[in-house]
Amino acid sequence: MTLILCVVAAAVVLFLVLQRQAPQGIYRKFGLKPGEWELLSSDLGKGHARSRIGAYGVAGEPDALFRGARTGQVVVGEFKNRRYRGFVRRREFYQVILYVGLAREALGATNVVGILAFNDSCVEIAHDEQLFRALIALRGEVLGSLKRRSPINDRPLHKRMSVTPRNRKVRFLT
Amino acid sequence: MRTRSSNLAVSKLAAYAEDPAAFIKVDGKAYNPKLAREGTRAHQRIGASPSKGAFIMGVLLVIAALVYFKVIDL
Repeated sequence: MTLILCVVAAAVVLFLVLQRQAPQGIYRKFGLKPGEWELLSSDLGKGHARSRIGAYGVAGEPDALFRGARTGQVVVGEFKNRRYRGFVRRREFYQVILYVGLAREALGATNVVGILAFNDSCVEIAHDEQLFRALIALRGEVLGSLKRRSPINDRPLHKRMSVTPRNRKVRFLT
Repeated sequence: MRTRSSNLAVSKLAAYAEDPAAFIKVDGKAYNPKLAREGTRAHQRIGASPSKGAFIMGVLLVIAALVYFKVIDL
């Protein structure tokens, strides 16, 4: 009987240890150290605090939100289930630009950066106010296009304006 | 921050900005539903807590093995 109790107790302790260590997988995915960053919210895994951020009629739930323990800097993390292969898709880039801009509005923070995480690499994305505003300005066009089932303007955003003045190192597929 | 249901999703806005014609062609839905499902599963695996069911099953298997090999008697 004592042996059974020992097995159960060992399993409970192991379970609690693994449960406590679970959020560290989120930190690792974005290349951040748990001691230096506080996980504010995440929709990765289960059982973490979640938060939806929104402004200007646009909203979403970033995969992870961190705040620097000493610096107060906010990091918006977005995970993509693929290998990096040296390029970022424009929609992935725009998503992070939007989350960074929305986090600045929602959290009242100015020092916000984005991290786009892949299965084998991470790419840092800086805030770009001009691009963020341009994306937000597309909201009405998106809703109108969906309503009439045809794009109001079929030119992609990168053909309407320069989308990387603040993120020159980001490489796109085409 | 709570938002109204009339909000446009960040992912949809980003997809439209990348390619308006392709986005409208799929009616604002995922380009590849199978890849989208795999992505959701991958998201759920990161930082996931261990499965309670698997632990209970493991404990029962260990106890069963101890009984089977007569390490303990019930």
